[in-house]
Amino acid sequence: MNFEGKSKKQEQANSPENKEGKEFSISEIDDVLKQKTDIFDSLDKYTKDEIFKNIGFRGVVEIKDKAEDNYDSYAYEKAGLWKKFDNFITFGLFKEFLGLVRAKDGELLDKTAIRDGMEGGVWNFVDREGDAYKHEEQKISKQFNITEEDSAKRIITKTYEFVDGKIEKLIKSSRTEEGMMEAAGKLREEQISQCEKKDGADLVALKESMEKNSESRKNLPEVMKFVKSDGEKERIIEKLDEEERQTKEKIEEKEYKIDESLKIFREPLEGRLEETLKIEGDLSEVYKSAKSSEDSLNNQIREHDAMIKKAQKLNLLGGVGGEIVKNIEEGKALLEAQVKEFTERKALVSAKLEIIKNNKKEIEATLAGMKNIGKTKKEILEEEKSRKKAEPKAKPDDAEGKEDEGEKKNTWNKDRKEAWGLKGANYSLGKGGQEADKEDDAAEKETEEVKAGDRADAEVEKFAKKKFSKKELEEIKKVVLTRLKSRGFENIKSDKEKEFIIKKSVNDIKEVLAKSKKPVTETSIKDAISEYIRIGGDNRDKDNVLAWKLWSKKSESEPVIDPKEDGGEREKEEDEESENGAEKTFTEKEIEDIVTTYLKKEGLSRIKDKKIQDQITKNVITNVKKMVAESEEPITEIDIRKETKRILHALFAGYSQKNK
Amino acid sequence: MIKSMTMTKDTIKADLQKLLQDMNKTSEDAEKSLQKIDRKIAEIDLRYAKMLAKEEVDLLKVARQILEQKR
Repeated sequence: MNFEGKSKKQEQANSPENKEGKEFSISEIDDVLKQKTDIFDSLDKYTKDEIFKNIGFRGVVEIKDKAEDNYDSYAYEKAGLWKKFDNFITFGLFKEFLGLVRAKDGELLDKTAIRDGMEGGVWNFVDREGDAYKHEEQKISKQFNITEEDSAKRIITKTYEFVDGKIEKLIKSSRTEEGMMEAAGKLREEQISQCEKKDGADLVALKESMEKNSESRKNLPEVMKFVKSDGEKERIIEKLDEEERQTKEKIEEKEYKIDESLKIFREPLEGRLEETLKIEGDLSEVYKSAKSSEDSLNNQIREHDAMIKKAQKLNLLGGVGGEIVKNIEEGKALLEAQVKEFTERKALVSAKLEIIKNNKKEIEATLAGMKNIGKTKKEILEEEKSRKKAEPKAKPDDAEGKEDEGEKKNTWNKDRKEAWGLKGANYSLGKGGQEADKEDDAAEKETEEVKAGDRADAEVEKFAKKKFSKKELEEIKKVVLTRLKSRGFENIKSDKEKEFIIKKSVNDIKEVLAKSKKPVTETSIKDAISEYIRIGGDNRDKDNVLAWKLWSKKSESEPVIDPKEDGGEREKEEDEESENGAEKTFTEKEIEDIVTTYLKKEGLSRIKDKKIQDQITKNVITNVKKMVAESEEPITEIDIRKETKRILHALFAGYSQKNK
Repeated sequence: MIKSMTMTKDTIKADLQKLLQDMNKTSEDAEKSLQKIDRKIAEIDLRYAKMLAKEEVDLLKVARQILEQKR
């Protein structure tokens, strides 16, 4: 073991390397640097878990001292028989002279002999517990001038040696890996800060003075008016030019000096930024890939699920078929487990992306800080402006990152490794991470659904599910009931039927109202009813037939329109209806029904003579059937109604003439 | 009628068997994709570890240079 020939405590404490624990030594760096470089050079041979396993650093700040009874008695050998006898016969009065000491447990120890196994052994204070060790550690820290804060980042060790019949101890204090990096980081920051305060400030002063000079030169013609001699004028101008030239030179020199002194800090950072960007890009790609696989699997599971349900519903499978369904269900479970795996990878990559983005922000902020050294406020503002112009929209989190940068500067070391998962890395996530991912996924899913589907439809659907207040429902029911009454609702005898019609109608009108997004008022409800009738209710719904029978009726409160008086209007209405008219082959019964219904609608019942009513009906039916039979083109219900109307008019005209 | 029922049953069975095959294929592909992603993550982890180690080496070198200048 090399003690560098220093035996006195005082000498050690005053040596340049050891006078203060906080100071950094080149030999200390070399020790770690060698190990780090070795690791770095052979990184490809290591797995990531092996890379950061703790490395113990030895031999940094050290003191050689005599063994002390208070702290080192465990290194003393037990007193031999003769020593004990000597001690006995002198009644212990010459214990010190005999080199003996009484241990706490009463045992007599010999300070002139070292206990077996103690020589060369290393005692690490980190592993020791108890007040005695704590007290000794504090004492050593004081000797080395190590603050309480620093002591957590340092390791103290003790080694015993037996020299010239005496037990000696070598106490060493070295930095932990974390402490080492932190010290190096501080040193770097300190150096940059010094550069900023000294050369940077000088450069700023030079630039400002240059700026002032150029401002003053603008007023030169005014000043020159007071100088009469041309020679004097020339001399002044020459002097000013010379001053400007010199300042420019000084500025260039300073800029070069700052650039050179910052190079050692800037270049590694630039390299790291480049690598960080590459890693960020690659992580994004992996994330995309995991997401795409997850989505694709989910889609396939949905499809398979539908197929399984279909097969189960059909209930056609027994024996082998049932076995297949069972296998498919197992396959589905496997796919679901795989989806979970992709989700976990996504979360893992997402967490890594977050770290790498923060790293990037830190590096960019540090580089920007260095870039601004020696720049005037004006220059910084101008650069900031042009930067903002180049980036139309700064992301809000950019600013946050920069604010955090100061605090995070010294946390990059251990935290990042652990956050990244480089110590005992596995793919399991923290609870927080998983929950955050679940939230992200849910939000993502929602966004995608809206994107994929029709946003308007989604909104309408959302609105259709709107809950109406009790008051609104009562208002809807009231208006609906009034309208139903005008359509012969009271004629329905069954209360059950009445209840059903109201319920069904209110529900239908509610839907129309919801889609219209109008507030619930009497007018909006009436509009909704008109819209409901216009679109023809919900004829697909068999349950609605009862209600629709009423809604399709003409309101009794509406005046009966005479075909003669309002033929144009009715034709228009019919034309609108004809848009929905379907071409088909009508049976004789269907033709008779359409004609009879139409004649009733047109007020045939107002003719009191039943015989004439029948005659007209028969006549119209015969003529319509003839028209249908003779027609070469396909016939619709509208055509039948039009023909009925035409014949009816003709017949009315005939009867009128007869009556006259 | 019975013939039609048998046909439906056979068709569904065939469909389900096809589905099972598809599922197996999907699962295999997913496994490959997972392995690929894991490989990429491990590769990125190594690069990141290397970057951090380089960063520490750089930092120590810088500290060494500063101390040498101060001497």
